[in-house]
Amino acid sequence: MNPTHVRSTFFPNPDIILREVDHALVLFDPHKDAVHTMNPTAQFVWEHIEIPPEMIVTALQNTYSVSTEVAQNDVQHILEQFQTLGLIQTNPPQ
Amino acid sequence: MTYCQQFIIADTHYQISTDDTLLAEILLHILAGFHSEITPTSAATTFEIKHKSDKTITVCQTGKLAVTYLTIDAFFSQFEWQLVRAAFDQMGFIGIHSGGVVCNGKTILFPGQSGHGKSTLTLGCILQGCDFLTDEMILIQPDTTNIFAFPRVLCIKNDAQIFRLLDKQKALQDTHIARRLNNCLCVSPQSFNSIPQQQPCPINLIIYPNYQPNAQTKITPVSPVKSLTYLLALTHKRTQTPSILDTLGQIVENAPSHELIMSNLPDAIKEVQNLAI
Repeated sequence: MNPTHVRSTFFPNPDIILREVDHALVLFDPHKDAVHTMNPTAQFVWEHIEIPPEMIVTALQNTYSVSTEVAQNDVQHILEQFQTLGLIQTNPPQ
Repeated sequence: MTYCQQFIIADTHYQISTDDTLLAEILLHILAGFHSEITPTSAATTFEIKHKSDKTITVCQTGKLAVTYLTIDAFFSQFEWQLVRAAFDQMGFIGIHSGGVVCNGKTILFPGQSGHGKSTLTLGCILQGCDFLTDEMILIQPDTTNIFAFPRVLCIKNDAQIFRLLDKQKALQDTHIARRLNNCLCVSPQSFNSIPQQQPCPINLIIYPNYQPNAQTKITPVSPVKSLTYLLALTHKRTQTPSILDTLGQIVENAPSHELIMSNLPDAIKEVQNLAI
């Protein structure tokens, strides 16, 4: 299956403002007046957020040479955090 | 009219007037740094201040009642913020809670919350010959990231004795320059070297003062990402400024950031001077 044709599972919250500084991402939610920085794994997931989670797991495995179990746990945990913080949504941005 | 003065914040003209002697005396002191030889303009935003018989103080902005202060202390501590808000509304500048000086030609910011040592470090540096920008608020032009002076009166809340050794010109002994208001030592900046308010200054260095009694003076680098998050937390109206991360990101990418743990003011000033070489 062509990955570009797979329905995306998550989308960035369009209200979030972000900027890369010194190769690291800083995210600012003006509605909550909250600022977020990310560790490299979280940043990797964020940069692949619009592909399905199982493909993010595979990409993480390939990039960091970690086991499937570790990659799955990391991706699941990070996506849950992103959702809790309101950084991502399931609906495509309008 | 007891007091009527036009002055500038960044590129906007203001006119302040009052016919009350006590208010005039306070205004003369706290706004001394803003006074300049400017041509009066009818386009100035006007503030007319009155001391009412019930002791309250009213401020009319361009003819309309803008705010009422219940006490002189409240007027003293909050009126400048009214000016700052008016400046922001008109200009779209970004304001950061920060001290600022120019040392050896380098523009240095001292961002920090109240109590971290912004005013102490700023006054210490200008007593040592640095040029004054502000001890409270820097105004940033978003598209250039240049800053402009906001030369309000310096308010020192702690023991002023620590400045005695640094005050070689005895400026703080002059009651026209330093006086007690609202439990602060208030130092008018007009006797020190100040950067003209209309002169844009590119930011060269960011130093976060961190006053810790009995700690050893120490300076450590702060990463650009941390610096951006610190600056963001100190930015006025950050949630209403969509370009805020871009502006602050440019600043931290171009100006190295440090944290200065300080308890001894002369040692802290030396660290600032060393970084500005």
